Amino acid sequence: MTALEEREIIHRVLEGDTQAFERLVAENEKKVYALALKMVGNEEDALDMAQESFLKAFSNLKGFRGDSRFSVWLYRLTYNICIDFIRKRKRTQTFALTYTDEDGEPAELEIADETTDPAAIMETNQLRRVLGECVDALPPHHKEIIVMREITGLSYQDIARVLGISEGTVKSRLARARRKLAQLLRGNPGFGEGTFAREDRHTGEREVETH
Amino acid sequence: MIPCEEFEELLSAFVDGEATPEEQAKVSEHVKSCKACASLLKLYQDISGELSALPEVPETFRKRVMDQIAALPHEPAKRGRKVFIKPWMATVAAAACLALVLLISPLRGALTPKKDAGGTQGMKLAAVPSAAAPEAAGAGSASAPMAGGADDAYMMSATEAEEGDAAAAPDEPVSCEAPELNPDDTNKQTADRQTHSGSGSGGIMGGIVTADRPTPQEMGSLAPPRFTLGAPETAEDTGAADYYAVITVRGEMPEVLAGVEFTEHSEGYETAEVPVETARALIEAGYETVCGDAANTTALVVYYP
Repeated sequence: MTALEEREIIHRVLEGDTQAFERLVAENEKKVYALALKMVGNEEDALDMAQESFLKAFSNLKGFRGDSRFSVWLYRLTYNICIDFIRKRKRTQTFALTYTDEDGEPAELEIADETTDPAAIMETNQLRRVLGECVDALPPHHKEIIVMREITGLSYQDIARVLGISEGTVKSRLARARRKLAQLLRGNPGFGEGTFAREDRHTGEREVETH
Repeated sequence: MIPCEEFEELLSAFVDGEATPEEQAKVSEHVKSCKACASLLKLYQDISGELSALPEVPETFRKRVMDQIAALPHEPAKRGRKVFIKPWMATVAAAACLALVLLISPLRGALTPKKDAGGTQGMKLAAVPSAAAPEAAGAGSASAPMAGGADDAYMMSATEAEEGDAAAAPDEPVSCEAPELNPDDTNKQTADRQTHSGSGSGGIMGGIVTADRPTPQEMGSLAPPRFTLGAPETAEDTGAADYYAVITVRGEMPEVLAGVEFTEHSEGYETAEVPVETARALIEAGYETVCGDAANTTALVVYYP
């Protein structure tokens, strides 16, 4: 969907053509749901968050000023809704947070020794599970930015807008988050020196890589 | 395995397609000879490929959303709902304004070096214990009486150098966690208040940070907005302790709040809870702020259209 088409649809919705909004849902539901799923961690809550995102987007459409793409605005809504949800959920759960500050490295972190390469080809599903666990183990702001980047594919400039931080911070925080994630992965016995079945972002083709 | 320091950000930006052509060439060249970075780059690419695979959305999702939308009241752009609001929310902004008038006007006079005030050079410094040094405050503070409870008020300047080189560095990010009192200027009252905040130098509760709007003359010199801190009452008194901060926005909605849903109140303002990141961006941009408890994860924005 081009930016022009997007604007036309929004115009129609604001004129009262409620059904036109369905195209905006169809265009964005996958990423909104994926973003919510990665942020809140389970399908049921993620569906609720995604639904709330679209309802709020509809209710607040007049407030969309069109200085960014609709999707960027929508991701920000989703992000805020999920953050709010996580915050409320935290109040009723006891969470032990290992990480306290942005640069503090977790003390118990073990980094895999390169010389003991098991060269075992792991089940892709297990690797996915391990990756999911490691992403969840990241400090919240690292998890958020990685998820935001990988799921939505937004540019650094747009992520900066969505998260309300500078582009430079986006760049450095992503680098730190990735390094930490790599450390967590390599320190996880379920990962070893495993490989992922890679799905190319642009072609959707799947190929299994082996060492 | 740690990437070569110089390449930490470059590898990440490379994976995201955010590296410049020169940086891309640099990374490509480097990974030919550096096994650690080559291995890490591949891992980053694998992770990226894996995480960006999108899950299937249940088929019923879209219909559910559209059904809900159809069930909404007709006006699509209706904003917010009328909800009950705690009285303190309404008074927080007013309290901030009142505090400005009562505290900042006189002390701002004191902050400007005056020939007839003798010791005012000291007033350029960060903390101004007005009650303990009335003579130093000079005519400025005498001309406008303090409100009750302002005896232990202090002001903190995080301004540009024109107010004095002892002020906080201009580039230092302004937030509810950032300011620290100049130890030379802390007296017993301010020390008490710091203790009361429970976090030592980490956070000041109940302080008011406001953008001290430049006077017309100052506008001419493009002086940046100035920030001052006061503490007319505790965060508990204002209710701001429930939040990281309470920030007042008037007129044009800043970009960082795009998409945030505000709740309308009959008194003519709107409120929304925002994450700390957003709050920091607003505080740095100079919006009126009442600092709450830095341990909180959300801030309240009070918006006056």
